[in-house]
Amino acid sequence: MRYSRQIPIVGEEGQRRLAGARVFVAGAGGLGSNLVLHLSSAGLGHIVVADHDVVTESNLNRTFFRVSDLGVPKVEALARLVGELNPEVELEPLRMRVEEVDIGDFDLIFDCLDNVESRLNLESSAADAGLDIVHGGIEGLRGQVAHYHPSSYRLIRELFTSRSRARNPVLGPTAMLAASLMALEGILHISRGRGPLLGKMLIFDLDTLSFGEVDLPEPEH
Amino acid sequence: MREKLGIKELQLEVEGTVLDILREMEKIGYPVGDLVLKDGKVKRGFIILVNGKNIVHLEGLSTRVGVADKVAIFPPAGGG
Repeated sequence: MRYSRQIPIVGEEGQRRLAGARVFVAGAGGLGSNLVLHLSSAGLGHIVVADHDVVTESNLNRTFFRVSDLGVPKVEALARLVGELNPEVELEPLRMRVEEVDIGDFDLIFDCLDNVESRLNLESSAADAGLDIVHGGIEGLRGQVAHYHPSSYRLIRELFTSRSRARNPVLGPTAMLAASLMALEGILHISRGRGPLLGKMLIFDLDTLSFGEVDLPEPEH
Repeated sequence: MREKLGIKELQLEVEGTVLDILREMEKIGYPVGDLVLKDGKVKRGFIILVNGKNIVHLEGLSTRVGVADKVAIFPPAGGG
């Protein structure tokens, strides 16, 4: 059976929850594309992914896009990959800016964006909809991942005080590690009801193999 | 930072401002001020969080911290 090696971890009921889940992945670059592949392999039933860019050669060092995908919208290339990887997964590719997506009926939001402005907009929409965000950010050999409730705490506002955008250097393993951790959180959150990152931010630096944790403020009731 | 300071975490029994904490770290041999401060301000690219809140939104380096508070200093990564 396709999921026989993970059902001992997530449980039969957890696997059914994964199959019935619907998540939104904002961005299909180094984080988003790798995350979608992990979620698809795990049998997450319905994935909506939004990105307005096309695949370029400079994307290939940190993604599983192929040379034949060059010039193709990232979300379409991703839909093709997912179709080959796990046809049970329903992937809805939205070639548009994340700001244009109606953030409504999702089990979880994944912030895989590459600029502060869009991250702030996503955080605000998720807060209005009362949805959790699993956040990822990468740069060079560093990154951070977190799971928080934007309705009570705005992580992006705390992390980024400037809205400048730069083409940051990044190595493939940095993107893939962060995407794997985000996928882990999503899979466990949906299948078990709680992931290890909830209310925390994990910061890593692969140059020194350094990992640290920051507790995020608890929701105020 | 870990490479330059040689530590990942440090527990201090100090109450005062964030700047006091940084100065205390320097006194005991961790030159954190050189790493994260320039002209008396936090260097561009670095942030200081106190219990998950950026000091920019609190009282800057004058933000008061106690022994139970957690201070995190790092350069956040914005790419995706």
